Amino acid sequence: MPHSSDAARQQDATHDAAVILEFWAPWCAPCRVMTPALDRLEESYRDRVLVRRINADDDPITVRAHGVRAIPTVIAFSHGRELGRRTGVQSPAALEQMFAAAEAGTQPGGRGPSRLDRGLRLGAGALLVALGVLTKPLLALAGGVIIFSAVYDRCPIWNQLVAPALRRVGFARRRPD
Amino acid sequence: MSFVNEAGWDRALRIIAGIVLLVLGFGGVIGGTAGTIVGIVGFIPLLTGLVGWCPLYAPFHFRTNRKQGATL
Repeated sequence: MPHSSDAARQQDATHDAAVILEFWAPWCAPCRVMTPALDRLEESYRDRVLVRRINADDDPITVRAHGVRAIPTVIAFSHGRELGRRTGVQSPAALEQMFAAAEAGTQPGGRGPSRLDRGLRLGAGALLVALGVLTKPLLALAGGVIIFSAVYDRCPIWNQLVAPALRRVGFARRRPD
Repeated sequence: MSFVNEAGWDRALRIIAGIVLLVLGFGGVIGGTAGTIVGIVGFIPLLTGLVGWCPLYAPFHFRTNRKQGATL
């Protein structure tokens, strides 16, 4: 049975220098998919990042305390401050971003489009540009916009000018306090 | 939990279908008003394929991709 002291211990645990909290459950198949990658990263970052695995069935208090509504969820902390969280199955690369962020005390890197998204957008955009060049220029413009949507996160102008403005008006992803 | 409810193959098919419709409509294969309508309709599968979310799937909680997690 979970106790409030368990939650207090878990809360205290996040005040270590670098902590990764993983929320999982035995019946959660996606959680099991992530386990090998998490085990490898835990070993790679031994003595640098502390990993705490929270069984959602056994410790609902901690689950609620961290506002976790779905599993698997991985949260990176540095000195008790939440740096970022990911929900759902994450690739080993995305998990490593979380570990590196926890160690460095910085926000995990921006996700940007996935490789599949980038590929689909680039392909569709290129086809639209080709179609637009042959028929209506407006289609070429639409194709250009779609191509940009595939790589916007790598555009320095976007990152320096547009992304901060979007964050100010609340269109960006949630940032930790 | 991701709002994406389409698998990769679903999205690719939609994008291809959308491009085909755009070619038929705006490429002059189908002329006149019908061609314009076909071209405009082509944006629907194209956009839903690019975004990965189908509004027709959503009300029925249907998805062609695997669930990435479980709601508590």
